[in-house]
Amino acid sequence: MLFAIAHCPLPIASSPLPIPHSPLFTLAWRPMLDPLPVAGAWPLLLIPLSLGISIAYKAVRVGSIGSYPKAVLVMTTQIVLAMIAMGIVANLFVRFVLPVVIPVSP
Amino acid sequence: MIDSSPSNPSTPNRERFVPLAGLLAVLLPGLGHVYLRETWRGVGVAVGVLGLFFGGILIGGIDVVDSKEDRIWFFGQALVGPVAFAVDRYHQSRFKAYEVGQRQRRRTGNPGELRERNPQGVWIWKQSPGAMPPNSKSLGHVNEIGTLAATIAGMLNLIAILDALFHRQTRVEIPPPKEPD
Repeated sequence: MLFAIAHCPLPIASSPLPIPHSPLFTLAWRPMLDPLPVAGAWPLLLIPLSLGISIAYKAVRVGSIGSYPKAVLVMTTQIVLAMIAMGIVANLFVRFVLPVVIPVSP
Repeated sequence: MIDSSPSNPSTPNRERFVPLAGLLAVLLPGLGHVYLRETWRGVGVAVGVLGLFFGGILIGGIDVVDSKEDRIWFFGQALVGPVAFAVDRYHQSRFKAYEVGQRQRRRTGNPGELRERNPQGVWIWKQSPGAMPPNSKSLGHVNEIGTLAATIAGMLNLIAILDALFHRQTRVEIPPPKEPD
């Protein structure tokens, strides 16, 4: 939320309505009714998403409650690291491999 | 093998078909495992599935659960159970309205529109500068992640429903690697 306030333009004074992702819009956020005003920080939403998946999946899979918290943490970490790795690979592919395969004239 | 009792100590590691546990798991995530006397497992399923579902709504707003405009995604979300249908019903009836003069399709309001009843008792959108509709349509990555979270919740609940329906008393865990002597 602080990221959204710091990185977004100020609302136009003449506009009667708050501009999405502006500080005014962030302050007027209605939970569950309006989208979360996270602006550019949306990749961080991967962490709670991975945690929720791990909590539900490992509840069904693990044998005892003793190994449950560790299994959840390990799976959450695996998902987050795998997504970061795939993001890096996709980025390298678009930057370096794709221009070779499909040359773009300047 | 059909055995509707919640536990049967004589067959600890055999798969049992427990229809009531499956039905309870459909009604509320985790309830099937609570019935099978695996309370911690049921609580884990409930926290995970409902946390993802309502977390998705928190991220993308109630707009992410929409059986009319995002029908394919709703098929996945519906696996959460009656909770998903209740949220969708609430969304359709309390937040959407018709365009003035049209009765084909209800939609979410835009900024500058007010939701009100016309003389026939039908909810319509009326232009009202400065007004905010009861909810906002989510767009972009926030909408995608919110919709995805709510849909994954349903798919995980399907796993939990099947696990409660075809229940095993004990689970096989992968043993840790042996340390060299």
